[in-house]
Amino acid sequence: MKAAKVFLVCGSGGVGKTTVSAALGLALAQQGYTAAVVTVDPAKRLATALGIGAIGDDPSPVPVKAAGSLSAMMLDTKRTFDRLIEKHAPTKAKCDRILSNVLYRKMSDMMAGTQEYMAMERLYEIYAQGKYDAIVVDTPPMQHALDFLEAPQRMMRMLNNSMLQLLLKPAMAVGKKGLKFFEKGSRTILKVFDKITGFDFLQDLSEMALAFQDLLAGFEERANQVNNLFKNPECRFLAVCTTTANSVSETELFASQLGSYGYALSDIIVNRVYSGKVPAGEVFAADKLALKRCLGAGEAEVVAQNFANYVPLIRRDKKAVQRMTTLVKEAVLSVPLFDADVHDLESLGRIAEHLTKLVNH
Amino acid sequence: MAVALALLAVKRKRRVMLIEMNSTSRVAPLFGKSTNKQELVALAPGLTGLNLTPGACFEEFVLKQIRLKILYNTFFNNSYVRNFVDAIPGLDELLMLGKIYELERLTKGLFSSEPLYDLIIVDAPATGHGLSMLEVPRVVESVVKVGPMHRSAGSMQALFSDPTKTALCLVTLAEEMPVVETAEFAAALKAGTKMAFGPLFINALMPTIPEVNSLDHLPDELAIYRNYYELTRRRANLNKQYVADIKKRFADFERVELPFLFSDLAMPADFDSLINVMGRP
Repeated sequence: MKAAKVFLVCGSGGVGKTTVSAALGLALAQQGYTAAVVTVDPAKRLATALGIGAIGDDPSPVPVKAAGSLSAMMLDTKRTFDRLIEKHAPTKAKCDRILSNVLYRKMSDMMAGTQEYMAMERLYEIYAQGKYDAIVVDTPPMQHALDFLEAPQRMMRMLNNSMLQLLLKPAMAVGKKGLKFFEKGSRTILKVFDKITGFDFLQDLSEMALAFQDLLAGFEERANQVNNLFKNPECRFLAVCTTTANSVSETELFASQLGSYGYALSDIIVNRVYSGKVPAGEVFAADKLALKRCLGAGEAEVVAQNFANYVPLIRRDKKAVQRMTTLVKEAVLSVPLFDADVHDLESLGRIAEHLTKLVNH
Repeated sequence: MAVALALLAVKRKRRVMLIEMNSTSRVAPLFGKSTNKQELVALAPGLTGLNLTPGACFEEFVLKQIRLKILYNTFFNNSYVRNFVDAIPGLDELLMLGKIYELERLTKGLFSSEPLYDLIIVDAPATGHGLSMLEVPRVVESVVKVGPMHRSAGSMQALFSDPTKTALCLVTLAEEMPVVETAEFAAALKAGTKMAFGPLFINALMPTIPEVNSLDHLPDELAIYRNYYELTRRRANLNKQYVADIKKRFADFERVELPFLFSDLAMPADFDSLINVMGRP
């Protein structure tokens, strides 16, 4: 089967990233793709956006009327981590040792970057299955989007950490009282971490971390596979933003940071845009007179003043969209602010109409 | 919202600390300041700002233990230690929450028991990550049974679950997805933490404008006026519908309804309309 197209949808919190991801999935299904939308954001917005009750780690079909099909799933970090361990542990005993470790069971999803790594793992699982020819990934909010890209390397560095081999393992062997025999640097580091976590916790952590050493080869192979997926031309980075100053500058920063990794931002979707031609002063005055003739003085004033309120926003948004065009190699698509709520398939279809250009190139 | 609350408190003569947790500060530029470090910034009289990052919190903590920056740079300021810190579950969150805990305990002087800050406002991460962060002290306290991490987590949990000291204020829009998500978030917080709730802020409500009946007859060249009129009316009706829904879902919450702003918030004066509404009894 032809390799799937992958769309990594990135953006800050609150810009409509999940809604746009859902709409993109719908647009792909409408164009005949067997599409999947995956959310890795801990909030459960995707189910609401697609108008379905709930979604879990397994694909849930979305009842779309389309040439293709759409499935949705939500990352279950813990379950994906368990599957990864079951897959890569060299023996059942070693697998059980990790899975039964209390720190792993209760706190593994709190290790920095774990959620992002498991998101990459889940994406790769779905991609490798070959069931879908288009996969849309709704990534965590922008501050963490680069964590998403760094996740494979970060996990490898955590597991392969020299501190574990050179410092923690021998420290656990001699116990707290034996630390006086360590050289000054090691002693200083261990004393500080003892103050932060306590020696007992360090021992528990050491046991968990050392158990993970057996999985290193498997994790490394997966990290390479994920990196290759990112570099595949069919993998595209999309940013969703709004036209506020913060959102625009964060998107510019993100584009630049992506560039430093050797990736390029493919498309930008600017959401909730106020658009239209703002009449110049004399034209506006003439329009007000025309409104007065059509509606009467009182109603004309209401309508004219209402429009005047939006003028700063229309101007702001035009500049913001222009700024975005300098950042991408493909397209900047504007999605207007709709006069109705977008929370089901029918209303998502209105957004999907604006995304067909993205799907077709 | 956090900035608006801070400005309202300052107007009422409180000494306020405003904390954010962003990779780069969003608050300081609003006050014409710039910072790229974790440092106290005098934003305005009575208002201090601080942008917390995990790396800076770790450095500050370590320096308190070993005192000498040269020792820190020699032994701790390297990728090995950073990677190791990454492997300690929940540590980043505990360090940042621990910093907030420490600020709450600061007093005006060595022999004074009066708090340095009357109010500490934290602009917390958005729902999903915010929930994860707020649950860390409870999880750590229950899993790590002994030692400093257990004690620190316990102290933080005690502070954040004390209704006389800490309130969690939720912000939502009057639209389907934000309302549903906020309700789920509130339920998850009630189950996962013991935090008390402050007011629920319902943001960006479209103004109600008088009805105009004869817009269908407007010629095409005036269509933009009709379109924007319809936009305001329909969104105002949508908001009204969801405000009613919010009143049912959050019946036991104090609610504050805030207007849609037709301009960006670029400086403190731009917050006046929000502050005036928030400050009403």
